[in-house]
Amino acid sequence: MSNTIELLNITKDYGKSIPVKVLKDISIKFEKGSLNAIIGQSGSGKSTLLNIMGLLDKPTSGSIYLDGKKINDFNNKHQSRLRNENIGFIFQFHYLLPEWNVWENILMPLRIRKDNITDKMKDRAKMIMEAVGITDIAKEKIQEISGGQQQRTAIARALITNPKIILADEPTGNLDSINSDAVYNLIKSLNEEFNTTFIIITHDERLAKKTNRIIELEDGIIKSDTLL
Amino acid sequence: MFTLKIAFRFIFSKKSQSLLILIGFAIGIAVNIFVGSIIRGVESNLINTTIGASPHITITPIENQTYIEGWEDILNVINKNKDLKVVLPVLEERVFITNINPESPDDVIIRGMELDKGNEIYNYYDSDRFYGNPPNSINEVIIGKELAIDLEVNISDTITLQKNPNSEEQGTNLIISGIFDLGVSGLNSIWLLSEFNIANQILNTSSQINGIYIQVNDIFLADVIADEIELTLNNQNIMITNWKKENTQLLTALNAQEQSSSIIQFFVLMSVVIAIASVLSITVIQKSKQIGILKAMGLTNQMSARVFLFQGLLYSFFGTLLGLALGSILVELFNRYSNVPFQSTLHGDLIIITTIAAILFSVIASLIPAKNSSKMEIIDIIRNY
Repeated sequence: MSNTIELLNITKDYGKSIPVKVLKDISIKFEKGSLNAIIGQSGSGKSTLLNIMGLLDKPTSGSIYLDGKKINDFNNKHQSRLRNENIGFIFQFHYLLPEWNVWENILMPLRIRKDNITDKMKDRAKMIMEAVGITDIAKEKIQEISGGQQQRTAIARALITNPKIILADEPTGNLDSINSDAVYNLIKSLNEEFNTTFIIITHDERLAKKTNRIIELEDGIIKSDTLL
Repeated sequence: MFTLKIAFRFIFSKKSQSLLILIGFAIGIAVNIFVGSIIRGVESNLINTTIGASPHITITPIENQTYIEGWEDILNVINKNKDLKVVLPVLEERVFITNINPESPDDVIIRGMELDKGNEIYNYYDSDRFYGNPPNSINEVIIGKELAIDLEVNISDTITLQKNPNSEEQGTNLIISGIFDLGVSGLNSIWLLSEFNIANQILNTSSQINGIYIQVNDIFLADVIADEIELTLNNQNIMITNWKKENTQLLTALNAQEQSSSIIQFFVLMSVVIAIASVLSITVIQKSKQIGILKAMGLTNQMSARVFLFQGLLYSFFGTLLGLALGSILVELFNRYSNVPFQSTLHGDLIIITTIAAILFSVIASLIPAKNSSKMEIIDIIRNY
């Protein structure tokens, strides 16, 4: 199976006078269509690694390849386009835009790319909304829906551009166990249905076991990498 | 354009804040328009009072000559100039009224001219200030109010005019058909106006003139036009002067007034523009989470900057519209209810300049918050969410 994203000798230091090494020479590949979990203690470098993969943060050294192309040297504009077309994000806090309703939030990445929303795009949005179970709240304001619904909306938004990878940082960290299970089951089914690569950060081993691969980070290095 | 839609949505998401900015901006623009209009009103009132009913350019013979030689040719050249409103050839000279006080004849100035055209400059037929009828060109004249009082004459009375009271020649009898009031007693007590041929007859001249009085369309260009005429005519036997040369103090005062009002208007405008810039800077911070999320989804730094430039543009555009409406109302109310002796006038160029300056400066001021938003790093925003 081909690799979607590959990290090579990634390091990340914070601070100038007393640098703290958060990531220490990490090299890892993720296969297309795989469902991966990254676990580790708080401060192990999980989120930093995810942010670097998503081009939200810059590595101190090392390379990031997407479909074989080195992407961390791209200029800002190019990286923005690349994020828009290839990467979806799901965060612990839903990160939805309160000025827009559920439907508008889901379509947002498409609007950033192209102002006109075609019927085909709308159909895809409806299909994804149905898949994540939020069809009936399309016109609701973000503040007026439940935490579970907000996270489902965020998942739908991440999927709308049909990205190659979805990066999720503690996507259930703010949900109760019932909603957490539901979201994980949803992610698993979407991974199977859309063949999208998912890389999920969690500190909940029980949920991590629902994926196909668990990578454990400790003090900025990969402690273990287990296929399930 | 999606960034414009984001700008709109950001503005509408903070309705009361946006409304306050808009009102603040509108008040600034309204004050600007109001002050500008008042100053213009004062200015035009001053100018009208001082030079409105008088010639803007005067052509007279040089000192050692009595009449303008070849004046018909001069008129032909001058009349081709499109900047002139009225061109009035005049024959004026001191004459004596010999029949009222034969012992000591009263001296007056007779002005012979085409009276209807002269009225376009001096406005002596104004119905509020003119009594009687315009004179015919056979044997009638009109005289100033003070002169009528001094001579104790009235409409229909006859006066005898003579160029030289000591000469043996018989004077010319003329009937007073009307009495005018120019609002200047110096002129009212000495002027006697007649058609051109009557003055020629009394002064024994054959179609001579000793003055050409001109009003121009734009009085502030009187000096330029006068120079132009002088250059075109290239005549050593005439002198050309204009109101600006003779009213330097008034011009200095007007300039000072205009400059001070421009400074006031500029600072009022600057204060609203700075207000917009500071409010937008706060908005960038208020909306930093949204900017971070949008950037994570692919919004470029340029698009992010454009969102705030558009906000500056929208605030200034709608603020200016509101301000213009408010300013017009203020000007209207001022004209209706104030007791000052002038009308403030809303000029198109003031509206256009204010609108362009307000919008342009606001967009320029929005560059700072726009730059700040474009420089925002997604990772910093996400970490601090």
